[in-house]
Amino acid sequence: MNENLIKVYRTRYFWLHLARAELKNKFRRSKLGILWTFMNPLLLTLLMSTVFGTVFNMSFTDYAPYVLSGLIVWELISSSFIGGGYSILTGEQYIRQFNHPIIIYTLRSALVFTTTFAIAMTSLIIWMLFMNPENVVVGLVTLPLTTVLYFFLSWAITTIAGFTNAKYRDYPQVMALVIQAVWYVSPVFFKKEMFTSNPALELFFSLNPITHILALVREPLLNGSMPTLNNYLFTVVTIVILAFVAAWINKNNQNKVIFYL
Amino acid sequence: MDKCYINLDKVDLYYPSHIYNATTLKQEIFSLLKLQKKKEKLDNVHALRNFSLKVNEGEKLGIIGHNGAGKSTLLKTIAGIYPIKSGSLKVKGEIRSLFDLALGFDLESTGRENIMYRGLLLGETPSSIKKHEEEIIDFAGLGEFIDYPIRSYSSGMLVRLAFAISTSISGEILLLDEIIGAGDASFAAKAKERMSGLMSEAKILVLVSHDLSTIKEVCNRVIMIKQGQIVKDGKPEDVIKYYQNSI
Repeated sequence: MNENLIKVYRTRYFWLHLARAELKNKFRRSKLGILWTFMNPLLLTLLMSTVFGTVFNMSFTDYAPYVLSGLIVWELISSSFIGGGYSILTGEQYIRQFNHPIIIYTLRSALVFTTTFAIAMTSLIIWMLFMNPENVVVGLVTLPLTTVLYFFLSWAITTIAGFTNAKYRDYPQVMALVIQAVWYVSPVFFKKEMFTSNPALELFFSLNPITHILALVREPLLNGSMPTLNNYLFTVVTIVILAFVAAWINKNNQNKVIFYL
Repeated sequence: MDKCYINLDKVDLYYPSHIYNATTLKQEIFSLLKLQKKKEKLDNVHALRNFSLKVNEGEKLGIIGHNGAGKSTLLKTIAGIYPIKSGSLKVKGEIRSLFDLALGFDLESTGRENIMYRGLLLGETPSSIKKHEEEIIDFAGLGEFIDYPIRSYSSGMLVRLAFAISTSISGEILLLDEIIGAGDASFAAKAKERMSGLMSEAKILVLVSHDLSTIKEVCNRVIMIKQGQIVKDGKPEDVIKYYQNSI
């Protein structure tokens, strides 16, 4: 593993370029370009909070930032699982010609998703600057660590997803369903109160790592308080577990994966 | 300074067949119901068999053999791309392989940007590419077109650019799958000269080619491969004669 990481460092110019190129290509020839990353969650939030706010009868000003923060973080998680599935497949041409470590291709995807997250976060920060400017300071203080944690979370997920999809091509179909199911039991759009109707659901809510991962962004920016130790603990443990799984999968498959491409 | 070498010791390499043997649920059910013939199982392809080869510094090794004998597989195994099943592979020295020159090109970016991209892919740093940049542009002879997106290039121009970039950086161990010639007559002459320069600079050259006269010209040792094994190893004239007699 150590030797792998040294090789990752040595190829840093290459994967940084791949990540940059992917971000650039995504918005090529579009008028707004990378601004879309910023606009999209905002516009979606407007739409969602109008619909959900009406259905569940909640005040728009409270609910909209909740939806926006949920949307931004969920985008990172779901694209790591689903988009990350293609991280190794899209590197096929490179893998066939260079023996760079395979994880640089999953690293590329994680960088793209984390960068997208960071850009989208500016929309939430600007929103809060108008709504609750007193929260922005603690929000900005916690953001660097949160982004680093999210990046490692994303890298672990894209690595697992990339190898799995290279081997089992049913992965995107299955994962799309699983992700949708997880969405329903996670407080992405649904507020905590909606989970308290049922004790089993409430327990699940507090044990769901996604609740805590989301809290890293929500506690500071929405409530103006530091995330709890519990929030950090759940997030870090989730990352460590996923990282172990990713490292194990990588160890067993990095040499063979070329046969599955 | 340690000398460069390539050492393969009793290497076995298989292309696993289970990927081609994979069946869908529909096929399984249909063959169970005897509505469809059961898919024939394919065997693993034993691409390199108990393969031992030592190449020392200063050797220019030519590899000849029929299609499917394992020549390119051997080259990619040395490059560390295919995993070996058993045996050992030791390589000392920096490997530079030229397999697909146009890989990593981005059609929407300019020629100048693509020099950077391709250079990074080859393991260079931005500053070292900048040093080579003018020389590459000059060699490719693209003039002002270097600042146009390469989407606007003719195929000849593209090949010239690809060739110029890929051959601008030499390595200690050079792996070549067929010698690449490129472009119109005047460029082809330039390319040939550059290629020979690159090959003579390399401390070890491994060249796969069907062009026997090139092999004779460039190499000082030739091996002939058949079904993943070396059948003849020695001086170029001897091995080539043996190969020609075997056809």
